Amino acid sequence: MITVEHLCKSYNGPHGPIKVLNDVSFQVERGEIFGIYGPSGVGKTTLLRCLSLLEKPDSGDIFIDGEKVSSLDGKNAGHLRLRLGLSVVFQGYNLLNSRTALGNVMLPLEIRRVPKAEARSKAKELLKLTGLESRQDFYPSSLSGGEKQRVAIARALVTEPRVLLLDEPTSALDRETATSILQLVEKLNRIYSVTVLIVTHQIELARSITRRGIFMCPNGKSVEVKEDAVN
Amino acid sequence: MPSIERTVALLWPATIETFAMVAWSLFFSHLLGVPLGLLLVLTGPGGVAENRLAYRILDAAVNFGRSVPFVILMVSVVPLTRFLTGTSIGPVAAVVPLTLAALPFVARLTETAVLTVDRGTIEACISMGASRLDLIRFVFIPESLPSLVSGMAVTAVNLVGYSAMAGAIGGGGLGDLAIRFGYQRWETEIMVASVAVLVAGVQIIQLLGDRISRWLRR
Ligand SMILES: Nc1ncnc2c1ncn2[C@@H]1O[C@H](COP(=O)(O)OP(=O)(O)OP(=O)(O)O)[C@@H](O)[C@H]1O
Ligand SMILES: [Mg+2]
Repeated sequence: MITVEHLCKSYNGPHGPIKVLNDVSFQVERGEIFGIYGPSGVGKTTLLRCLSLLEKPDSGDIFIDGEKVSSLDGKNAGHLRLRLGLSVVFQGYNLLNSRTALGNVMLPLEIRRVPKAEARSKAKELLKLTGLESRQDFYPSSLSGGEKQRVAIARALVTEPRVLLLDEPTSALDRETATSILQLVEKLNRIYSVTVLIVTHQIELARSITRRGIFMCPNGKSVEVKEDAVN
Repeated sequence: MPSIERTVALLWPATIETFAMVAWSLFFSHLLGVPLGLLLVLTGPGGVAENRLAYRILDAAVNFGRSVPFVILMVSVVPLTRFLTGTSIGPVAAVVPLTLAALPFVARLTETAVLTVDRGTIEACISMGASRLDLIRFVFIPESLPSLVSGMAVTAVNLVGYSAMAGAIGGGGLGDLAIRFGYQRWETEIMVASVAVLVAGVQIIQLLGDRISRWLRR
């Protein structure tokens, strides 16, 4: 379970501090697919960065499975990250250009010192699940946007995380590919019972797989969105 | 008049000497310079082990090393050269000043290459739980390899130039040959031939560097 309480975060802009997150609170249940919506620039990525310990909030708290993670120094939180079972799929995929699709999916396992052969078979399994078997030896430069997205998702899931954070997993894709990615996320959520937080500005699309979520507003505040509120 | 055979007989060993000097200096300067460049990145502004004092010291040392003229460096490291190689003349001895001259250059090229690795890619790996050593091994070096190889070609070309200069004061190789025969004895033919070999060598190095770098870039 994830609890976010009164989270605030500002950045130093050229004309003084910009308040990006202003008292954001919400709760995500285990195994849920939770949406984080809002127009471009409201701080969705910032919120995700706080959740993944890459950014330290100014105030407020984040608890993941009862563990308070908001006060920790993200740069040196390697062990904590491994323990929490948190995986992130970033907005720009962030695949390594020096590795093939298979190599990219194997990376998190190599970091965990999983033996090569085991890492390879596990990575192949995930590529199969995401429909990329035939692309395993391709380098990112010769993959399409949707394929890169699926490699990034496979890479995030290969470690069997408990929480999956997805930043705009469908925004760079056409509607059809976007729908298939969302269906994939739903399937993986069922198979691994992984808790999913999905950040997107495409509310209508994402709501096909999310029950609850928050809508973030340009003033940095957030409003909770429930199933019945929109449908 | 020098015959073709004589020219070849003189050029061949000198070419081998120059090649060996450049290759060994290239090897040692990377052995020491790449880790130094990585340290610059790790301790530098925004680095994963940011440390202002360490970075300032390393940065100043690299700048200092790069600003010392090669001829002065060569003369001033003679005691070190003697200590390491047992002599201060000849191609083996020349490897010491050549390595020292290239080292800060390699460190700077490495820093520049690694700094071009996408910030988001580094963060992605950090979020997977990568340690600093993991980052070096899985991200910094492999992701910047194409640039590192291009830089290596530039360094090798510089070393060819420096090795000719080292040759002028007894380092052996093609530079030595060109000076001894061309300048001191006016056997222009030998000098021209030496220079031609140097020119061809530089072309080959650059061509190889470009090819390998492009292949690595995929
Ligand atoms: N490192 C930073 N320094 C200063 N300002 C920043 C920084 N990162 C983000 N911002 C600002 O914070 C605001 C929120 O950015 P964020 O990336 O979280 O938006 P977003 O909701 O993810 O937008 P998008 O949908 O376009 O991805 C933006 O106005 C941005 O300019
Ligand atoms: Mg964003």
